[in-house]
Amino acid sequence: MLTRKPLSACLAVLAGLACAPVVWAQSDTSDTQRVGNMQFGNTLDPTGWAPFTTPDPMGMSYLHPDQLRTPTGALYPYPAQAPDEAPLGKGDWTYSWLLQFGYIHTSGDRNAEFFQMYSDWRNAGAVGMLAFSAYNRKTGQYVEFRGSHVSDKDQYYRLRAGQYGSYRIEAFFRDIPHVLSTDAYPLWNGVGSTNLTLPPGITPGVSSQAQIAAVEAQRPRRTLSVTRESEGVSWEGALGRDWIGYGGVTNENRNGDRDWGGSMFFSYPFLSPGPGGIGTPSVPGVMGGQNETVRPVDFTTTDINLGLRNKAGASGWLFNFTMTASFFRDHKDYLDFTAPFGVLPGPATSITGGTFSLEPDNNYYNVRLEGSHALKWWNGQFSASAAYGSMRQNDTLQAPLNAMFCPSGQFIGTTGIPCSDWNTTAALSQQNGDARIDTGLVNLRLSFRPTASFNWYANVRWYGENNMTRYTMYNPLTGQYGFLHESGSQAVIIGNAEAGLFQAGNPLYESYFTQFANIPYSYNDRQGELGGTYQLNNQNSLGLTYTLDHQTPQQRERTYLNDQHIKLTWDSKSFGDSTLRFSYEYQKRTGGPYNAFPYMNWYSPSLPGYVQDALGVVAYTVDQMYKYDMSNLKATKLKAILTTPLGNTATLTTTVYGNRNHYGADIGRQSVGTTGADVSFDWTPSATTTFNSYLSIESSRIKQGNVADNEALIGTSPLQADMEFGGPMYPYANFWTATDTERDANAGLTISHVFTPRVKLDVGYNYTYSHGVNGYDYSSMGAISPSYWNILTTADIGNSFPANIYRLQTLSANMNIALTPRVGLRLYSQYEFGRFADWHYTGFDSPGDLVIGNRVYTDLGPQTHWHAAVLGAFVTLKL
Amino acid sequence: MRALPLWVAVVLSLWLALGGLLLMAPGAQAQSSASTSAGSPALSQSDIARMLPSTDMGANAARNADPHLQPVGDNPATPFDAARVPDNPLAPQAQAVGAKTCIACHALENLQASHSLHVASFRAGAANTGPQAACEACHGPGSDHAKNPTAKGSIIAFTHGSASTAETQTTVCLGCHVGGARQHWLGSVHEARGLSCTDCHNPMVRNSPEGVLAKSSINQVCATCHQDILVKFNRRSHMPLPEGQMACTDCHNPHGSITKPLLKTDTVNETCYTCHAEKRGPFVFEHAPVRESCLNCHDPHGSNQQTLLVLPLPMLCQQCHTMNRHPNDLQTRQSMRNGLVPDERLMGRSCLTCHTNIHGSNNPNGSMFHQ
Repeated sequence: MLTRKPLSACLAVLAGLACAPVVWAQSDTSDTQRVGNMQFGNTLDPTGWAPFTTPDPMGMSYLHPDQLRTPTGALYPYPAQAPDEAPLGKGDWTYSWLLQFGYIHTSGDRNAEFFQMYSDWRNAGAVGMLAFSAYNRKTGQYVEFRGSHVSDKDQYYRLRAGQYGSYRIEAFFRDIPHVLSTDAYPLWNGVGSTNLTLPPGITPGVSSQAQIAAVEAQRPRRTLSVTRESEGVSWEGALGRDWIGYGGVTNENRNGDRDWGGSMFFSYPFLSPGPGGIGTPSVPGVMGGQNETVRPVDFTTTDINLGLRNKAGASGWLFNFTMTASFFRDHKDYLDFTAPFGVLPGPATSITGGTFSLEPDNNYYNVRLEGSHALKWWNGQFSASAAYGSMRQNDTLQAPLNAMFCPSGQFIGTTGIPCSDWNTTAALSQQNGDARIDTGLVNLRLSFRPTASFNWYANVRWYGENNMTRYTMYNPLTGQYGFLHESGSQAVIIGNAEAGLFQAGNPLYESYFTQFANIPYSYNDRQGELGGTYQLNNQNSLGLTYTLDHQTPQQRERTYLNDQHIKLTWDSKSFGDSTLRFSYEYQKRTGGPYNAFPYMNWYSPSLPGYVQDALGVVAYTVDQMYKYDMSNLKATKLKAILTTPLGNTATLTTTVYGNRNHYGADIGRQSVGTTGADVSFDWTPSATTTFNSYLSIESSRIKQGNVADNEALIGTSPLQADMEFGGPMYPYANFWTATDTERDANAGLTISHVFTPRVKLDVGYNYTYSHGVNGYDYSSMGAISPSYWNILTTADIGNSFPANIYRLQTLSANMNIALTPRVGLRLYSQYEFGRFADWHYTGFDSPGDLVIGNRVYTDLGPQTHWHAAVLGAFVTLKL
Repeated sequence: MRALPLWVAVVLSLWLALGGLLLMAPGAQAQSSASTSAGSPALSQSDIARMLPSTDMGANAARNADPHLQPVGDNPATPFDAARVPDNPLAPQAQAVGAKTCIACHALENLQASHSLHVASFRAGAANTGPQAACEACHGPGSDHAKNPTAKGSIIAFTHGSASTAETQTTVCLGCHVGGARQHWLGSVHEARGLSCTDCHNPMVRNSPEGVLAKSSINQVCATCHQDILVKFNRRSHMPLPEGQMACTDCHNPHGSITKPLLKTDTVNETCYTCHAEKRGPFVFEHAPVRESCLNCHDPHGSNQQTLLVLPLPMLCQQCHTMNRHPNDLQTRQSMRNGLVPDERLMGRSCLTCHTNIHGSNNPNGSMFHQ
């Protein structure tokens, strides 16, 4: 049993945290200029404030019975009942607290991925809310604490203290769960570590596909997830009459594991028609291999933020200076995996596994200075911002090959390439990444309001990225350029001809087309904008904005892009009490000549000693391919939001929107279109009853085109170099298109009612439905892989995939019963019913399905049907 | 521990919901509504005039004449205990009357507002130095309003139908809250479209844990106008907004920024890197569209594909990759696991099964993101 005296003593200590010297200045906080940790809640209470939202039946005013509305027209909710307060000690402090604790029980398919995704539901005790606040009404000093604990992976605690208008300190600790798969059956041992090994009984390159499938079928089910655990402290407060400072440090640890990859060269080209010939299931290939592995996640990110701003002192300048430093550390920055299959059938070859470099440690720095000053003319203001940033990493690089899988003394297949030339860091041209990208930003703005009804502005913005990373794939041990694909497995299967290496003067390698250096992508962006708003009358205003965005990407398909935007806005209150906000935007993008392959400077033909093959360089891509970030574009965008008050107690909000993008490309993304509408109805007939509902529909369509190359020409004809769409290498007959058509519908309602001062019920229902169809069309069988020509017929191919579906219905109910003024009962329930289909996982029904040919998968995909329920019973104690 | 059978859980859930709905019968409602909107008639002007107490009208001048108090200045950054009474362009001759006068009619507003962090800060100031730092620090001088309470524009009002322009309203708020997160309010999309601070904030009540929001959470406030965005977070892959772990303002600054989508950082990518720092690199081998903008492949508001992708794989990659051999082949339904030609380019994580380090690689063999 809690007694007031010891509690008061504890609370007084907390209150003391807020008793810093008063600075004669007025400060406020600026959370919304800093990224992250703005919201502390969980699925049990997404607002993090539910226990304090019981409406006060007295309402807001004796002068009118209902609530007022926002300037736009939405109803303000009724004020919440203020929690009871008690004096703290003999001074001017008062305090209040609330504790809600109980038990959560889950039933049904509680391992369903979508049920668990961001909610660590368990059958266990939980703290719905622990809250405490203390306040000194004389000095404005305060202490506030909120916390909730669903599990060790799903919890938050935050403490704030300070003095209004003077300073604030904050400390928090939180865990956020993220479940990535609950149907994972990794073949490997060592999940979570940097070394994945095969379970006993599997001998790489010797075990058959059936044997490995049998082992896989017995692997235990696992959940793959990552938990973000973070903590932070910060201070923000006045540093003088017009100066406000900020300092904060956050530290985040991410731990867990997630599905990953692991390629040992292709499998698909090596399959063949089944025993029954065309139309019967094919025989899996026995070369190459794909391995869906599991990688560890063991990250730490430490962020330091400092800020200093001036609230327009004597100089009249409004200054804002911020400095950010972020330090990312990856404690497991590589992954080795043993391959279950040999890349060639038969006795084990030298390449028995693969290796990954996981993300390197990196540092990031950013400083920004902003200033604004009023101008004498036309009620003007000048505003300038400048920022400099730098991203850097200098991790030690791995050897090109792993000595564990390509030991010294052995050779890569039959190529004669000794492993010892590549399984050491002596094979590298440099030992560290030495990577760096610097960024810069300047933004200048002039704003004027020459009359009460007219304002205009001009804005110019420059942003640039300079990638200073330089890395050459050169092996000083051999004098060769290039790299060994897929841990060397490509060389094992294809041989020297496509080992991935170039070497001048060596007939084996002097004509090989390969990348030999990194490509340092950079860009500059210059933007100019002119805009204004004219108030036609008290009810209507029109706005017009013109923007020219001139981008100069480097090492890309175009040397410059010009994006022009014209935007028209109309804001109106001329429809009765309604508020209309309408906007229409037209965009046109053009640019310099399109070079489909601008990367030759980083490929072997640009190296001295390159000998042009008599057949020429294989057309890397097709000339008419336009990448959608570089292609021409004509786009329109429209949006209208109408907020309509209905009587004194209801609001109807209607939104209509759509966009149409046409990229002017045959090959690449062709078009994007979205059309949608939302209707929300909010009704608050009294302080005790609230009804909110919404209906939302959206359809979208993305269409693309592509063309398969004529693989028969590669290595056999000089026509292989023809990059023209419609030519022999990329014939019209091989053209195909794909269309992604999605329909989304959402509906929901919440009803909240206070029956008496003792019982509050909240009921909510939410419905989500997404239906996606991926269709395709093609000119001829040339559009598909040649290895399938003898297996598939047009009837087999059809014209679409099965629909992708995500449907989720959630019914939730919350009942709070006040047993006494200080003791209450909370009953919580959530019932979830879902359906899911994704053709990526069609046919993956049981662990035995995870092995097909030389491919080993880990994830069966999300559960296709699930019912799950959460029940919770909590006792609420409060002051 | 043994789990309850699902049907039991479902029945209990429905009981809670249906039981509550039954309680919403008219009889039950009548019980509660009697105490609230029982139709108390609005006060007339003469009622209000009779109720007005003797006021502290003229306190502004009195305050400046008192050598023991800090003078009222014109500087917008004055502390709360010397809060400036803003000019009301629609009542230029009005004088400050002090909170006592206001409370005579607005007693319940006063009571509710006293629970608001915002008003509490003014109270703290007023307790020290005088009545200016209260109602009129936001609503402007109240003498005209006291004389003629129903005259529109006689006081600076912040609600629907107010005669005070959005600019007048926001100028009041920026009188204290200028700079910092509001550095770029002028010219921001919300300013240009005529929004007022009180479209999102209600400083007269405490209905949210912080930020004196108009609703109980940031996401609910944003959804007032941006419901189309909020529902995208219900899709298959999404960031944890519906679960209460994130807010729109984790990425966006609704008060204005130097980016079109009101991002808090210089670029889209820098915003994403704040939570996904491992993607920041730089990597020895960069993937051009990744370094350019995360939005080339991801929709941060929600997607029907895995990992917020805007299209399913391999179609997403095939929008750009028509390189010779394997990237440009049409994938069909027969490439699925149960098809005639199961294909690693389509099944499971599709292209990413092999090109796993798609966000960039630090491996000397990683130029195609295999390692």
